Amino acid sequence: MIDYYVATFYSTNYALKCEKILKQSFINVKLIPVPRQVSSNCGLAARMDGEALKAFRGLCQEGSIEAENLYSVVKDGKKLIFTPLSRE
Amino acid sequence: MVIYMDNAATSYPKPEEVVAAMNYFFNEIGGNPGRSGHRLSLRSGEVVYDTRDALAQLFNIEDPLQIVFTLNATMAINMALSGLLKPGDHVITSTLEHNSTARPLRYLEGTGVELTRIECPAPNFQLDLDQLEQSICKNTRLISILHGSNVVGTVFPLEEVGKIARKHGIYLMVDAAQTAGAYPIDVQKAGIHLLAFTGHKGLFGPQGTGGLYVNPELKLDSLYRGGTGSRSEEDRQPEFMPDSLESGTPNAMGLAGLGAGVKYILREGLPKIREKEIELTNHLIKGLNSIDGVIIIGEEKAENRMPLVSFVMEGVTPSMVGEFLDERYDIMTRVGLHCSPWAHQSMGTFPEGTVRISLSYLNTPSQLDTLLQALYELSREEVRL
Repeated sequence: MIDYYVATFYSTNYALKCEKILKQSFINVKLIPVPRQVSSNCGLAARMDGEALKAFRGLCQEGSIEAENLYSVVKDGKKLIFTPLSRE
Repeated sequence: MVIYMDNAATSYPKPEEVVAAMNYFFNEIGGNPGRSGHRLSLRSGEVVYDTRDALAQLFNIEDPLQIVFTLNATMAINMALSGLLKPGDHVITSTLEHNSTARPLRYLEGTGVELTRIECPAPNFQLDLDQLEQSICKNTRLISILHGSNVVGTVFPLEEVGKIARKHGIYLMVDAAQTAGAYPIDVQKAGIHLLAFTGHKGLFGPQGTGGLYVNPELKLDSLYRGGTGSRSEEDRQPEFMPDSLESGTPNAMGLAGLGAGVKYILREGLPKIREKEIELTNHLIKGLNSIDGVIIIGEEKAENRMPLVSFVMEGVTPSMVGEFLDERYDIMTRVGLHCSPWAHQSMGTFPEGTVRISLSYLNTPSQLDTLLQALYELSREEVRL
């Protein structure tokens, strides 16, 4: 059972741009510190649910926003398991 | 109360919301933009991004991330010229350029870049477009010109220059230090590849803010490298914008103020700002022309110039005029060469320079009347200097 999804970006600037565009489209994402499990960047990632992910991918395909990677996250006790998703 | 008429050096006063935005940043936000993941860093990042976004709207830039923040226009111009031009390249510029372009180009000339300066003949001191096009040769890489002259106020026809650049497949770089925020600039329509601007003049931001727009088809070599908050595991500079050109902690508090200044302009609307500035300029030109001994430099009409007029006064040096206006009337003007030796050489006002009155949207007609009355008295020798 997937708990949520995480998108990482090339830089914080891309994350902020994405957040602004998503807000304008009423898509709910939350910017969080990049989880150590997926990147050593000191920047931001976006956390979202399945519905938001759909819209997010649509905007990526349109070219309005750009993500570096997408992950599904599963909570396993105290651990979080990140699995890369295909970009399609 | 002083009467401030030196807005081409820096604008003053600023709209209230500029100060409020900086104050709010200082007291309530404070974090480093784009560096950490906590909420104050995030909010700081949002403030800086918002400023990028507002500027993109103002200049019709498709992607806000193609704007790199700098300390001022000079830094932006240096980044662009040094990042693009290589020995053997040819660059075309104008004789009205400020030292912010003149000096980097003279320096690059010493490294093997070829330089051509296009005349801007009297009486209008407009760019000679025929000479510009004829100067283009095989190795011409760039046309680098200012938009509005800080000395005579002439505004160059960017779209015409852009057409010439496009026709010959060369890049166009524009120094908008004087015009950004006061004059419409559309990078897509004018075909501008590099746009350098300062935050503290027409955009009503604080000093220490500025930027460079870089067209996505262009890749500049960076003058310096460092921390960006991105790709922290790598010891090589990221290649994506703006991080490739924007290292180190930016002036986030200043950019909060700049963002508020740009939003103020977007709210007031450029047509309204231009209309008022044209009115003020016509008022000033008419008044100056009615004073004996005052010689205005440049005959360009208000529609094609910044709200800026340079003049000399027969029998009184510019520095004496400036001192008199400051001490007797609390009027702040700028006298001398305005960091633009090239321009004064081509106008015949080198080395004494001129008295320069530069207005902003926030000046009033009654301030102009005080200035004109003071100059009238000076011309009548009713005052002892």
